[in-house]
Amino acid sequence: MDFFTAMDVSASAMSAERTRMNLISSNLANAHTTRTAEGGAYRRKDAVFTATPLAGGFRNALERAGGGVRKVAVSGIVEDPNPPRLQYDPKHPDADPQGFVGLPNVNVVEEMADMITATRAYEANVNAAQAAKNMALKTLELGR
Amino acid sequence: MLADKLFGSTLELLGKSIDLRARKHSMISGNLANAETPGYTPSTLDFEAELKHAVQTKKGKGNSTPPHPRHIPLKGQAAELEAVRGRVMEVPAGPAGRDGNGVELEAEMSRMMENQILYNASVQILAKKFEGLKTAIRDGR
Amino acid sequence: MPIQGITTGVGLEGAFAKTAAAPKSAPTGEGFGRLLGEMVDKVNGAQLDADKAIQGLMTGDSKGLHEVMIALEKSSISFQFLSQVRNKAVEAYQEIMRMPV
Repeated sequence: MDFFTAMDVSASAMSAERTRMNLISSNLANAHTTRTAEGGAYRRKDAVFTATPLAGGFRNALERAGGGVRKVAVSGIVEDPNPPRLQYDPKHPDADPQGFVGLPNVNVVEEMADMITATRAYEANVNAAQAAKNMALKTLELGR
Repeated sequence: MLADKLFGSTLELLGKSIDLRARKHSMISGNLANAETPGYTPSTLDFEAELKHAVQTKKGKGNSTPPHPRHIPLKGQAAELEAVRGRVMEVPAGPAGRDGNGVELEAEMSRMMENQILYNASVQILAKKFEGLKTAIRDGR
Repeated sequence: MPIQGITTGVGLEGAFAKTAAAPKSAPTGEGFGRLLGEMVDKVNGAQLDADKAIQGLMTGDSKGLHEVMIALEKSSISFQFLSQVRNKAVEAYQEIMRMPV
């Protein structure tokens, strides 16, 4: 029972990090997009992680037994509230009346750092899942 | 009673250790999963001191009340060992990051590796003990 | 005497050098019986040592995984050794009893 719980938790983390990677890729790809369907420049998107208790009908029993083990879930995708960067370029087709173009508020360096963090977290969770599998297989040796 | 004599307290200890370490792995997985969650403090399972205390209890002192009425109550050291549950406590970690997250990835990874090694060792030692018992029963052949 | 022959021939004293001081000229059954008794004690001691080492590892006292594994191997091997000695002795005894006089 316990190892499947652990693998579940690791799997939840892996999909959460993958979502984050998708958003980072989207941010990087649209770092210079000035035109979007919603109007205006592209706005940087970020994922919100929340620690959620393990699901299950017998919530109390599980929490007691699990001792506070929580998995992670992406509870939402928010847009960065920072205003777009303004750049003076009157010839640009998207320039506003003053001649400023609104560029996305994406900081490429920050996105790269986020990407490294997400990769590290993903690898760590892969390791945890492998360790759980390893331990479960080892337990089978008791009966060999 | 026969089982008590045949399977000594070392087997109980090994079984309990396996159980506790499996739970500890779940907690470490939870910590790793929430390594990027804002406001999360990592927790761990502390059971070494409890185990040591249970092991050093003289035989015949404890009497456990079994969780189920049809379970056979254990006596003595086995009872003490059975009662060890481990304490969930917060990791005495360093300062939390900018977003309130206190998980140190490297510390968690090293804890996980140590836990895994000790778990595997427990399983292997237990298997060896059972093997020894089987050899004795089979009369050395 | 055949039983004495076993004790001197197989070199059991070599395995337990310290107990070699026991008088080998003692009457027939006693030399081997005492040897067996000492072996049993030693095996028991090895088992208890292994148990203590395991407890140390589980409670986090000693991180010496190699010590535990070695102690475990020692106790296991000495136990199997004792079993085999006993088996061979019983076999030899039965062989002797089978001899027509």
